[in-house]
Amino acid sequence: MILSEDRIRYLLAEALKLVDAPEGCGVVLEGSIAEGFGNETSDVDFLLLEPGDHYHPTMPSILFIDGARVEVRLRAVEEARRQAAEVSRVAQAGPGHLAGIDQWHLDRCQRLVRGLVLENPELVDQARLLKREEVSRIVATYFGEVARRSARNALLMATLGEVDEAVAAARAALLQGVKSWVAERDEAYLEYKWIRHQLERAPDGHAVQERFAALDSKGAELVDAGLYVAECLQFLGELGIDDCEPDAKSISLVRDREVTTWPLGSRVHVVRHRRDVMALGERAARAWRSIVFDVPLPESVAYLDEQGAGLRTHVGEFFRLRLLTARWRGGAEIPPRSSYTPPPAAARPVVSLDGAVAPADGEPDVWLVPLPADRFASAGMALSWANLMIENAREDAMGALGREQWRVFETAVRRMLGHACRALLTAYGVFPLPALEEAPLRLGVVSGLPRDMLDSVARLQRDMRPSDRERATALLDEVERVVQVARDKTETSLFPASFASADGWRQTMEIGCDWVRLGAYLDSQFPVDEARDLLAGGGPQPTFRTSDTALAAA
Amino acid sequence: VTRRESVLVTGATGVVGVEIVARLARAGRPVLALIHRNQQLTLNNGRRLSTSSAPDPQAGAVSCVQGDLTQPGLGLDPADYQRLRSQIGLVVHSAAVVDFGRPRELYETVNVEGTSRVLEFCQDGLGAPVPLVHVSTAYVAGQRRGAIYERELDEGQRFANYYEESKFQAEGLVRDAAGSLPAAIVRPSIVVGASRSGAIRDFKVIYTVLKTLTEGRVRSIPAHYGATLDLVPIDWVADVVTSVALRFNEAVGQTFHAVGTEAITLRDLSDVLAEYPSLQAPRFLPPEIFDLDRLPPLERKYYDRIVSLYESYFTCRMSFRDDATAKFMGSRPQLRRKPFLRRLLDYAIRVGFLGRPLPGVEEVLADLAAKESAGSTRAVAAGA
Repeated sequence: MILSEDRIRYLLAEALKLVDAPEGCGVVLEGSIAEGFGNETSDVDFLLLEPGDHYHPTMPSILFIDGARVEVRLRAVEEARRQAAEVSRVAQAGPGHLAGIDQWHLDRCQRLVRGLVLENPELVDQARLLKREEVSRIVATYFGEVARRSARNALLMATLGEVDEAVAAARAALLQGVKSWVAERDEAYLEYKWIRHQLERAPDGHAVQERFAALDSKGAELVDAGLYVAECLQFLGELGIDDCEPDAKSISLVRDREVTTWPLGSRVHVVRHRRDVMALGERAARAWRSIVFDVPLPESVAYLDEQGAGLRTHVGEFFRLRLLTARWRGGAEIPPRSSYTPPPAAARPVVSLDGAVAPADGEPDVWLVPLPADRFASAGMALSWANLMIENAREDAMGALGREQWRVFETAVRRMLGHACRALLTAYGVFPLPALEEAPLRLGVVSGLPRDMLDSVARLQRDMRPSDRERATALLDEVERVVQVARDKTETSLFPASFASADGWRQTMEIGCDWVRLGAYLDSQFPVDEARDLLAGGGPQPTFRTSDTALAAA
Repeated sequence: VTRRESVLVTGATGVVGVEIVARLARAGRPVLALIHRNQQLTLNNGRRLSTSSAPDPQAGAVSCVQGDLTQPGLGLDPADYQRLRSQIGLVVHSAAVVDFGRPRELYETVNVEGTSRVLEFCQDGLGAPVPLVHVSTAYVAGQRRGAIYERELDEGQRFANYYEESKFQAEGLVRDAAGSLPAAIVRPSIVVGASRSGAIRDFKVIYTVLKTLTEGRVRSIPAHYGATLDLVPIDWVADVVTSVALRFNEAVGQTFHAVGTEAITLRDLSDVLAEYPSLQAPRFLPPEIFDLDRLPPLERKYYDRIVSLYESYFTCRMSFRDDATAKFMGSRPQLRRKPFLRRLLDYAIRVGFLGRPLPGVEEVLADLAAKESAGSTRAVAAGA
């Protein structure tokens, strides 16, 4: 040990003067110094064990004594036994379960059984439910399984052409594999930092150390990722980590039923677990649509390659985003080493008729829509609906203008204005929407709208009463300008066909149907009951009478 | 073997027919399978059914007889006809043209006249009438909506295609003969893969349209989300027909719907298709806004040839009541809508029928152009 027993007992005595330790505690020196590692800056970790069953905060007391940093933890004997029993239960459930164990629990267990007893050895023995050999075996199994998972990850990434990911995963697998190997030889200290010392102490550790160091030091730029991964996996086999041989045929990609695909207009969107919406760029969408699931990975990759060079690299990102899973032969899942959710896209507006709007600074392969899925669907439906309603109100306004029905005209242009404002608000992600007549008053929540448009809306809101044809025409023109700005801002005018033609109208309805389909799946709020009716068709109301085209075609 | 035990099965090479043959044989019946040409009898699981050409099969054995439903005397030579007539105790008539879009005459010849020939065989006056189990279709209901009962047939309905019309006429012939001929009728709905595995040997009818739609060949169809498709697993259809044949005395005079537990709605289909990234889901447009003329030429072609034949299936909500079947069988198929649909899709993807579309015309052209340009580059390089 780096510290003498006298020094340790001195630090303990000083520490006990500073903390409120219960009577009759057992005391253990644990951690790196107890293991015989450590250096001058290492913490001195004391564990106080109190008889009986109490709850104690997890956080240790941190003391500075005579130039040393001393940590004192207090735990009840029963609490320690419970933790050990839990670790033992999970270990008995199998390596797959053990790999998912709370690492902190496992660490507490191994530190306790491998610590140096300073006070009250009988009490410490009571707390040590697991024997030292049992803990070593559990730690070896734990590292074996995490190494296996990392190795499979490395193979997956190498096959998908993700060199850096593959090399990083292979390195992790190496280290975890070596940790498993040393744990088999009673070196069960959990942290990675003293691995070199552990290898030096382990019988026959020298040869393993050499091989490990050689593989670990190979730079990614110097090696062929596939070859490097194969070498690492082969070495793992030699260390006794089986079932991760470098054969990609053992891996298959698996669909996740809770990840669903929704084209909205021309853009493909993926909804993860009914919560997150990710929009896909053109190439990513192509890759996503081209994945063949449940076949050996090389077959999936070959098909992706046929569909377009480089498409395979998107699959690794889908895997990390948890849009799909991977399995090893026999069915064990290969969890990603780290899964994540990208930051919400900085897109303003957020929603267009054509789905999610890409961030202003360029279209990434995959981006997260900054709205929860059901609100996104509601906003899209509301946007489609508002645009249809603008057209509807315009028709009313034109009719009223022709017949100089000024009361009808005023109502119609107010509706046009209200729907244009609702379209703007919903495109920026405002949902639920304010009532039609209040929508013009709420435009202030959206920043960056043109000043002259806001002034125009304020003016119109105050007075839209026509007195004669000239005034009515001027009012309609002003409302049309607001509508145009709303459509420019919401990217609706970029939409392939404008609302001017019957064709465009129909196309808008069609895209509205895309939104309704997603909204129905997510059980989102519908803008009006008519939209919901699109889903309920085929019911009691009259339905489409099939033409005789079927008969004619036959 | 007594006359009462031997069963003649028409349409024995069909996906349903062969399953009926196998079940009857398993129940210990001598089975004569009427086949059109020398064909193997392949079970739905892909295995061959062992058959012989022995004129008088033993209990539990299957013997093939070559014949032609559309010909007088079932196309048999007089001696064979006589022998068969004296030997057979029951006919199961499952032969039919079931796929859509064929010429009207074909449906009339096979489905209507074929049934007439079978009825002639059963009651040709040469002996006591031979009882008949007639395999019809639930879609004799045509474009009716709402609850459809087993006792109903002619309710003044319109038909979506010649198939439905021909099966309606055939069933009418059987019902007309029922005064003098003991008969029972089984009406399967849309026959699909097996209830447990989703497996189907031959992807026909609904599978054809499903392939067209999920490959994105046709991207919009006039449809209602509430429209229903009644999908029935092949094993249940074969079980019902076989039970009706084996317990004919209880079944005689009745009609049985062999249908799914719950009809699948287009909403179910839409939600489940979203779970498969490689499968495209069509837009279900309200029929009043669907415009056939807006489809691009190639899409229009697919629409006319395939999808149009199923139009009514995507707009009608009908519910086939199967009370007689449930009472007779003592159960109903235990299937949940979405899991069953997933099983069918999973199987079709696994065997490569769905999910790996051939490249579209545009992709092929783009690929050719790319290859040509690469080729010319190579030629230049070689020339240099």
